[in-house]
Amino acid sequence: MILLLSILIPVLVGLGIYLFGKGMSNRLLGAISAVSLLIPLALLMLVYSTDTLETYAWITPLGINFSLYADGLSWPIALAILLLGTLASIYSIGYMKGEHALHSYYANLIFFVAAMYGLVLAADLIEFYVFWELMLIPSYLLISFWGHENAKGAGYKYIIYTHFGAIFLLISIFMLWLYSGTTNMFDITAMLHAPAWAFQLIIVFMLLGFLIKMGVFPLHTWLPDAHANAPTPISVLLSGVMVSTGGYALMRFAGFMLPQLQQYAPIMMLLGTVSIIYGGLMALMQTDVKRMFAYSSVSQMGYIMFGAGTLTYFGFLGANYHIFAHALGKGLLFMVAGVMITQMGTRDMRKISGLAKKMPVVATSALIAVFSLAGTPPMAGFISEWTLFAGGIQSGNFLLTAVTLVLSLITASYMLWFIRRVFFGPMSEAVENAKVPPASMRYAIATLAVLSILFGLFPGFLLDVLVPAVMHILGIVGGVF
Amino acid sequence: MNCAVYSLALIAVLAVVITMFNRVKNEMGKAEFGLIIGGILAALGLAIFSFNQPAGLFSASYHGIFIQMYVTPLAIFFEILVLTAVLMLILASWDYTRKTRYYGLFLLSTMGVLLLPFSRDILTLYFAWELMTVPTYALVLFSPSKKSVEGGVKYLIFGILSSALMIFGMMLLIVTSGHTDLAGIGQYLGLPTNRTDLTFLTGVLLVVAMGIKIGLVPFHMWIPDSYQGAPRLVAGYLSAVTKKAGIIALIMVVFVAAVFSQSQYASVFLFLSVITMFWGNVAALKQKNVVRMLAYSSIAQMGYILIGFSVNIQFGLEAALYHALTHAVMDALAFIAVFAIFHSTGAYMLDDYRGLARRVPKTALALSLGLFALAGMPPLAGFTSKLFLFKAGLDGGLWWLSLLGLGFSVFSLAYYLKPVMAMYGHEEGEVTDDDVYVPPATGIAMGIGVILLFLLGLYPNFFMELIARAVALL
Repeated sequence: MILLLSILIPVLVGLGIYLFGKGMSNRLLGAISAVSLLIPLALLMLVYSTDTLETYAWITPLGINFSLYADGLSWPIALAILLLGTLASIYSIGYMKGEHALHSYYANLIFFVAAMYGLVLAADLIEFYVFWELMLIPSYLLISFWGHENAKGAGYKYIIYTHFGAIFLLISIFMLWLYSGTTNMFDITAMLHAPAWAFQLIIVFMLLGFLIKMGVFPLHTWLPDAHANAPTPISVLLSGVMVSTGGYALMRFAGFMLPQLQQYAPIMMLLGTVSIIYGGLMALMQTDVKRMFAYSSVSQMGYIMFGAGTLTYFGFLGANYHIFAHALGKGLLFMVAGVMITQMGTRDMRKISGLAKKMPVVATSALIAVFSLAGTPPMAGFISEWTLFAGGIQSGNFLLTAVTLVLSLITASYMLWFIRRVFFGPMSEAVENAKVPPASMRYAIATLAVLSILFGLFPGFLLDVLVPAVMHILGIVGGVF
Repeated sequence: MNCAVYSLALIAVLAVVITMFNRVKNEMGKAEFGLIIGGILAALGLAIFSFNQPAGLFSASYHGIFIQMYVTPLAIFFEILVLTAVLMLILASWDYTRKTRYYGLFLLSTMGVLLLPFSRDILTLYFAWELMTVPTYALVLFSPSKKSVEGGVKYLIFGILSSALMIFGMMLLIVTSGHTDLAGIGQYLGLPTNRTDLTFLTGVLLVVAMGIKIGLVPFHMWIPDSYQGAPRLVAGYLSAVTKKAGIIALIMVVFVAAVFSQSQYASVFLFLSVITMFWGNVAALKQKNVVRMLAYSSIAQMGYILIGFSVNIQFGLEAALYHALTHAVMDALAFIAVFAIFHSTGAYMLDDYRGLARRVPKTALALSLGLFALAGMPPLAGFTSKLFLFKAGLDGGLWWLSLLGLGFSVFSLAYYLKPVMAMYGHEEGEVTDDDVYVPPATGIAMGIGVILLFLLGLYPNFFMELIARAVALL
């Protein structure tokens, strides 16, 4: 009941806000939205490290159940989604001030978060697909209705690309269904008997679906446009957690066909590496701060792809932890970009310098996020990247791992360049005239910074639940080595 | 006694009363309108209530005139489908016109549609068919203009063509089999020796006659023009309700009277399904008028339904019927929303839809949800019914047809998104946030539609149970 409630509560609150929230103030709407996502967060805490499974009869003619499953693989990501959703709601109070149709905005935000949350808990293929597409409608409306100048085209590109990917995913789900006779994720591994060519098709279609959602090179073209043009709190969610759900899904689905997937491991790792490099280089070239972070997401998804692609114990562990660390870090950085937009009225990094003197808290937080994403101890990103590359070694692809490790310096370089350009040097005109951002924005940013450090210092909190789950998925009995 | 019959009788009485009331008063008041809505609601309640009652033959004789009606789960299901769509459309009609004769004609046609699934005899079937069709000839031209006359005349000509072909086919059936009841014909044609080339021709004649009404490609030419010319709500009625009547008549003729042999009918419907999906979707893409786009989209949707016919298994037919139900709701909602937008802002071309989400936010959302549902986006109604259809394709061994259907669904998003994009597109400074007044009756109709979209999408079990029984007891 707990997991079902944790989905229903935000959905009902969102519905209520949409229907009756018309005259409410921005502050109140944001608070309601944050609370409606904090309640599921509390409920999720109740099932920490318990492997909760809830099953409800759903589409009985096809034998499809509505199952929610919080195990070690889904729990950390569900946590990240709700954390970021809550903070994005709070952040919206400052950012969306004076925008139109706010009740509709917050309702869509809640639906978007609830859909992502449902996705990671789904334990049935069709249910999974429903949530996968369900993320699309509210996020599309959010991008195109409240977005920046080019939002209309970006929204179109976004929905067509991801829907296209989703259809490939659906085909592969249909094939899994056809060859196993079930849509239940627990039964599939044992019941799946398909000819070799069918496995190839399933895997290729599945990867297409997931890679488009993750925005891994060369299927990334929708991502920079959508992320850059969305309203910033939505960019936080899109870039922070939505794209990573592709990585999570990859790990979840990998369990069904591990032996067959094995030959794709080098390809997936290579795609990850290429994405790291391409995203990083493109990020170096940007002057628009949101586009830079969007390309940085392409690059960061490369890390997750690399880790998940190794199909090893450490790789999965690292990829999953990196989803969490990236959610905190990238969420924070997009929030900083939002500060630039609201307080300085520009997204052009060339017009901004010396911000550290004006906004020390924002600057410190941004520095923490940058160090975390670049993999510096003791931040959360260090734990994840270190484990990721250990996974690369474990898979036996030493050369590729070494090359990727060296090239990941690109991440550090564009991140540090961003810090130097924006926060140091003489104060530019735009910064001189800027005011300190509203408290809601500052607190959201600072919270993420603190969490980035905490999850770096105490990785055990997540690793304790992750380790058994990953061992279970990879079928490891006894020790790791 | 099954109370589904009473629900039919209720609508019949209502139709006659309202038609006669036209002599007394030209314009309806709130009381009369309330009576209509109450009557439809009561009929709907009776139909839903009869869900668990045993099916059977209802017969009554009055001074030697013998009335026979077969109450089957199929009839009950179809009653619920039709009454739901009609309820939404008549509710919205209050804001379109208050003329009594509009409602009289509407209800007479509804009565014909409701009679259709109860009749298991060729003569009553034809009677119901004409009772359904004739009032719509007048409805299509209810507010005539130059453009609508063209559409109305096209509708009339194609309607008469359809009736003529139907009579011809039915006559051939009676002559060759010596029966007038569908089950008897089915028994006669069940013997392979009784089947000739003429039987196949009869089947083709009947499929063409019904295909014109359903709007299967290549018999669809009248649809876009007639829908564009007709009042939007009448177009919605034609699309949501009378098309489904065509589907039910097709099921009766093909599955009860067995005009095709097993191998024939699979290939006939396979051909029609592919060509209908293809042309409906491709032609919809280039439309600039939203109603025309919806017209082509509703042609394409019939192609999906035929997937269920082609696979030749029981679940295929179940899926087809479920898609008929969801499509009735989705299309009724879409047409009502298009009507509401036209009524309150005057917008009818795609270009006029720009920025409407800020002027009529709730209507824009309802239309968007309806279009997303038509495109098959979860968790809305269209997704679940298409899921059933594609699963039926897989189960029936026609995986490539499912794949094709899936491909066309993705493709269809390209045109379903156009109005959504226009309404929600970010338009700096061009539009103001003025809330245009959308009349409450239309609003309620759209509310019902949106609730049903989610209900049918998330909880298909209730209707699937009914449909499973309907198909089993065909």
